[in-house]
Amino acid sequence: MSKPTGDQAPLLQQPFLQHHFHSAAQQEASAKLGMWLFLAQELVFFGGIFLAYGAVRYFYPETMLSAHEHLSVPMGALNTAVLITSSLTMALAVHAAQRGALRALRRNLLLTVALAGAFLVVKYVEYAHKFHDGLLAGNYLTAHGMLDDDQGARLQQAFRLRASPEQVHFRFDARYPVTREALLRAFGAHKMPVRAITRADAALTVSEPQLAHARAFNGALDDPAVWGSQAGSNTFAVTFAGKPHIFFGLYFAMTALHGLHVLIGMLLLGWVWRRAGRGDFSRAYFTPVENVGLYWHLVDLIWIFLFPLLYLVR
Amino acid sequence: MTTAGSTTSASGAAPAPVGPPSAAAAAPPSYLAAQRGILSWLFTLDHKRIGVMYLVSVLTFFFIGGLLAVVLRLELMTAKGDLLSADVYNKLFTLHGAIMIFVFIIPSIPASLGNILLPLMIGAKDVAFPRLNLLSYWIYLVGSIFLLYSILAGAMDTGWTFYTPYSTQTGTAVISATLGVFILGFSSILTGLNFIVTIHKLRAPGLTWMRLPLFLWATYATAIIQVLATPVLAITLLLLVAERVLGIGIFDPAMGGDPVLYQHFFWFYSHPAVYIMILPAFGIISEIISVHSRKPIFGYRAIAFSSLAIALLSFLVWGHHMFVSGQSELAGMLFSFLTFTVAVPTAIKVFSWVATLYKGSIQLTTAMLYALVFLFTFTIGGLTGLFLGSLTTDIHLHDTYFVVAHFHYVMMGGTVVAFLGGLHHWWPKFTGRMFSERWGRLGAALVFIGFNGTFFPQFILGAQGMPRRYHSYNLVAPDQLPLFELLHRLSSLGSHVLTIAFLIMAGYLLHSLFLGQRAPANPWGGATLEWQTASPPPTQNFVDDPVCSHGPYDFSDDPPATSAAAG
Amino acid sequence: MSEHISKGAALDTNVAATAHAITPLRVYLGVFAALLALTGVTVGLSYADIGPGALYLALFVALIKAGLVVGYFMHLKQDARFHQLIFFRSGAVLVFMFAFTFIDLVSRPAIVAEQGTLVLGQEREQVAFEAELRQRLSAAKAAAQPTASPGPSAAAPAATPTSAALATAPVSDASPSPEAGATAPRPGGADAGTPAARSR
Repeated sequence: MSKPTGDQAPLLQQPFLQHHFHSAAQQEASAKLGMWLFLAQELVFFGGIFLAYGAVRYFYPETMLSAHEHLSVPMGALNTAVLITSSLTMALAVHAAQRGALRALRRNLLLTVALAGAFLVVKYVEYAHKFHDGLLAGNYLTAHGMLDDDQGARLQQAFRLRASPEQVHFRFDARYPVTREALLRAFGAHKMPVRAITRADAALTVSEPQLAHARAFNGALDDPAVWGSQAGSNTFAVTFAGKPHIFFGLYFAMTALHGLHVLIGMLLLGWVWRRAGRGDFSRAYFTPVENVGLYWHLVDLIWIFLFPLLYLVR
Repeated sequence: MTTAGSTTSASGAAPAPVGPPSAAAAAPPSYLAAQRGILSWLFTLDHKRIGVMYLVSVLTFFFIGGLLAVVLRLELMTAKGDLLSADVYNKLFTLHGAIMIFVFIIPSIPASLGNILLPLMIGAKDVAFPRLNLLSYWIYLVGSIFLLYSILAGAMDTGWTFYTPYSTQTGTAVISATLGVFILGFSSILTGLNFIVTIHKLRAPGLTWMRLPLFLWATYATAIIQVLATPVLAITLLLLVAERVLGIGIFDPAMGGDPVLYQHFFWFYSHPAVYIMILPAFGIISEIISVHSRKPIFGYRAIAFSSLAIALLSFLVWGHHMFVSGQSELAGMLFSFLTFTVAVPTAIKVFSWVATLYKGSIQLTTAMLYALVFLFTFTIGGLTGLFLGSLTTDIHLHDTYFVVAHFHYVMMGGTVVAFLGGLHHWWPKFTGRMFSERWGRLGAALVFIGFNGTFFPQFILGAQGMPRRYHSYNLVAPDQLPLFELLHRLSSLGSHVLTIAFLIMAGYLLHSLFLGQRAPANPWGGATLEWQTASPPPTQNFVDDPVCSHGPYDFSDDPPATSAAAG
Repeated sequence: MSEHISKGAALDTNVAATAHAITPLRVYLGVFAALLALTGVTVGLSYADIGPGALYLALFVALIKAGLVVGYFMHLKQDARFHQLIFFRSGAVLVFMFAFTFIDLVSRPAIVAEQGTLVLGQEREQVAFEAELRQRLSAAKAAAQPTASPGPSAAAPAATPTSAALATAPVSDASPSPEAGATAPRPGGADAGTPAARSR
């Protein structure tokens, strides 16, 4: 053991070097190895949910085909382009760090954060649309947003309730007579496949928990004058075809998990950006930039698979 | 912390004074004495202190889980369910399983013993990411608090496997428990990640891969599984929570899902997790047997690579938990076949240990006694696994006490016994104190008797058709009732012997902590690096950066082992 | 006395492999252009009606894109061998996970049909397959029990309602709906809509 190999600068002039490492090179190699292991773990994590997707797709291929029509391909494609661009700016940030161009580093990091924000904005618009349409995960899927076809707002004034995985009950205000045909047209216009619509004025029996659930869920529509009046009210039981609740459950699970990673990525990028401004990085040391970059590319990688699988099913 | 850190970087930075570094200064204080106060523990970055915190936590949870087991055994002493209601019984065995698996046995060896020993064994100052190490401990604490909170929130009665659709429908506290396990998973992943990097990047000069102690090979293989399998548990539990809260319908057949898919997800992690539990135990046994029989390990490479082989094969056998779950016959046959292949590397290890013992100068220390107990019980546990891995016999034995006996022979007779052996083997190194060998041997003997007394009758019970997870059995098979009752009572009796054994152990270990003889640096004459520093080691582990010049089991040029016996 | 004595020599060789050969800017821009182009290709392909191969084609394109990102943006192509090994090892884990799970799923219908427990994949030819199996089973039992249910034949063409089929979607007014398509055909019949749970 003669003297520590590695870098030109004496160890004491490398404030970033932690005490248990012998050299900067050793520390950097350790950090990168750790990051790759973390990425491997992330891949397997997302792989699990892709397996769930694969199984559902195998069980219900028709559902996949019909339900994905409600996702906006332009939005998805836009977000793909945004993420790819952010990956480029991230790569450029690392490139700048390698050359010691600190201003370019900060600029590219900021661009990456901005693009990540743009991604989330587009995602928000998509989510808001789904919420408005009632195309939600599992028990919350009612598709009530489809009911604005020819009868306009009146059809939307429905008290809605999920009775079973496939069936949603709609009870309309007695003052607006609604027909099965109108409902069918409304769903049809929005490509929401319906298996059956049953008029069920008196036959609907609703359990107390379901009712409580529906009350909480319908918010302002929870008007006993409307829901409670049996006489003359129009109630319909709509059975959707396939299992759209599973598709949207998966859609939200996958995109929300990915979105969470985007959010964490933004925080990390902001952290690196701040450290870059503080002068922590130089040509000799920029491992955090590299590692956050690796993470960010992985987020991009996941989306590269999510996009065709969710949006482009044919 | 900071002072310690700066002194080292300074000493590491000064290249010139190589020869007499510690001659001037007195020996640095041990890691136990370096700082005082609870905060110096909770916010320490020292791997040894973090390991000790893990050790204390893990032993606490072992105590809680063991207490639950004793209550369960008390209930089963009589055929009728007179001590606990069926409901409470369900909750207790679920808690027993969940606590023992997720907060005790998975972190037991890697996170406690591994944490302390890994940097010592490779001659490093710390693990690669000390802050991550502390974070992993904190995550572990938060996760176990979630799990314990679920007890207050009404506990859960799903069994530790959370099988759907019951887990999506039962009114018990499934969500807090699954979130707890989810969080614990992160702790496990981070520990594994840290260990892999540490072994790769921080080995002392001269410590080549083929000089790595076998405990580290085992830890390394374990870490691979921790990193690559645990994420699947995380996603499984997230999907389970989503299923329960939102009704997504992937796993619940009433909503169009597939409960067997859940089992695929769950066992894809939980079968490899079995190897997270047992592989480090193999490593400990390799160390103990070689050191205490004063003989280089037989088949070093075979043992090292069989650890890796097990780590790889462990990902391919999960379906053997699902032979009667409605999995297809084709999948069942594949998984059954692959299950048998795991027996090969495992047997290689067992034969190598026995061959190491052959003509060795065996010293029947407490640690060695545990290693011998391990050989006995683990072999029984492993061989009965073959019964369960073959399709036809599994149909008869599935969900009976045979399964319970099998995995307790592997998990308790294997992992826990090895854990105890390791604890005794390295106790002088951790604490700087010797324990009473006489009491230690008595404890080991009682563990052996109590353990076999508890679980051997369960093999017969299961083979006779006693189902697991029943809180009363007077109506199960009326004509067998006398036999069932006898065997259950034997089993409960054994559990009392085990309890006494653990109480004795707690007694003499606590005694040694305060009143035990001072331990020398190398009481057993081990050749690995951790024995070359003081007991207990200083915060920086080694006064001089160590250089490895021989293999881990090369006892030739060692000084003769200092006498170990205490009394 | 070995040559490993010099501090961390073995370690630093590993570092040398990861040393930064700075990737030229044009490589990044080229990869970026390729990624955008491939995105266009995937979107375009999704509008072209090319049948069931579309999924695999889309996945193939996604794999190429992933390869570009990993290879160039993440520098894995010139990174340490061990990092490559980790990456591909995690990929292998996924391959095993998918392969074995799907081996089970694909080969399971025979059990499903025989036991009548799980109703899955009711929207595809699997239904027809199950119905056929069930008919064979009931034919075998027919000798003993002459009252075979006429259900399966009515439901066999199993409604596969797409948006196009919507116009023909039956609309029933009566409360006891004769919709056989709503619940898949099952021999048990007692709990028609809810497949029996088999958890243990």
